[in-house]
Amino acid sequence: MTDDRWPSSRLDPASPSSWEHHTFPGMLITVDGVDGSGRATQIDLLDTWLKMQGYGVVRTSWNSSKLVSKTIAEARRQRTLAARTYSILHAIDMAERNDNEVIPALRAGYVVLADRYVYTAFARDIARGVEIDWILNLYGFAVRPDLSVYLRIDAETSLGRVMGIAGESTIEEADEQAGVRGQLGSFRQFQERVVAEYEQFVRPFDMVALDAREPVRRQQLELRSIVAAMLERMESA
Amino acid sequence: MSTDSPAPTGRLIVIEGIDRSGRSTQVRLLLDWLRRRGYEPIRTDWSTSPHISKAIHKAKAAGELRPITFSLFYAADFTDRVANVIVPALERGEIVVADRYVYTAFARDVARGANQAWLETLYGFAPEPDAVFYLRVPPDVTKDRVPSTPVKAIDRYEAGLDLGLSSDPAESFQIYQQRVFDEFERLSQTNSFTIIDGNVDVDDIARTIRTRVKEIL
Repeated sequence: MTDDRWPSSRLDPASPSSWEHHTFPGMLITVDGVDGSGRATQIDLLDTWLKMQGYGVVRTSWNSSKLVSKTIAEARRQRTLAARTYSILHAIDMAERNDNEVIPALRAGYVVLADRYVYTAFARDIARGVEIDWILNLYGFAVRPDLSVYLRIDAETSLGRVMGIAGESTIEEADEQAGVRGQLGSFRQFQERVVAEYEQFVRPFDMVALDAREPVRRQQLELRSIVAAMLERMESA
Repeated sequence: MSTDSPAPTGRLIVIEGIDRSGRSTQVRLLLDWLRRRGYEPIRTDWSTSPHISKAIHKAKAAGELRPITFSLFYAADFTDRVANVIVPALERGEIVVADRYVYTAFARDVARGANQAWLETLYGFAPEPDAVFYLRVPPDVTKDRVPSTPVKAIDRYEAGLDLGLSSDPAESFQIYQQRVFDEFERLSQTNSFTIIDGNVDVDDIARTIRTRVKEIL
């Protein structure tokens, strides 16, 4: 990877090895899945556990860079952004966090926990009708994770959970998909598309898929044993 | 290049060239002429999407745009104008005159180190222009020209100061504009540009452009 972080490697499920591995001393763990899959819960628990083991942890979250999060929020309210423009704004958010949060932390040897990563961008953007080749190319700058976790859940169950917690108005993707707010039928269809689109990345990119309908604790224990094994391998290397 | 929607019936006319090559003057003259002939051309300028240009200005003012972020912001602006201005106008059968197009992005981003193939895919959805007029003026000529819009100082990015080419803004401007010019030269070999010597009389240039535009209308 060059110093100015221009895309230098190719993300392509048809040739997964063309996505370069990073050489930083830290470890990048990403957690993807639709809203209601339990991402925040699993990340919180993993964060606490890692810190108890003595590891330094840095967290980074989807759509949180100062540079564009306001623009995205504003455009979402106005519902006028083209799907492609929306994709690029999210890519800017990720590029900024990549350079300002992820890479510095990896370089300093931290474990970085990312709440959503490129797979969420891929799944949502493809579900909105953006071509897969275009979106894969767009994210060519992204650091390849050491571990990609996918919290697998069906659209029905995840929607039930989100509705149960806070009601429809807080469903992030409902806002993102212009025109479907207040129409659960079409939002459910969108959510089903997103769930389906995630799946094509699981095998090629060696994502660890956890059954997100299982009890929280069982998922967390499985996750910890995978992470523990990776950390052990890293330290003995 | 392909288009987001099938068979638009309008015409897309692009005027390209480095900063201070006389682009905006020629865009204005062409628009005036088209209007006199009874057309109602649609004009679209670089970095004018209402959603994105504000964010670009803010980010530039903050002074921390990395080359990739710089590139993606302009791509976001472009996608917005393609979806909301260019494609709808072409579908209505109108004439669209673009002050800069994908080639400006290619030239600037490659000058900043971007990979050409990455850029071609990023901008691959853009409608193919019916004519591209490239105003060819080397940077040693443009450097003595007064910019068409008043600027307080040399723009940090227009001068390539983000690239660390030189600590002297005037020198950095020269090096960066030369790189961009070199990229335009390269692009003019592989794309079907109408190359125009931008160093001749303004009215002569306008006449050359009108002659070619008449052919495609």
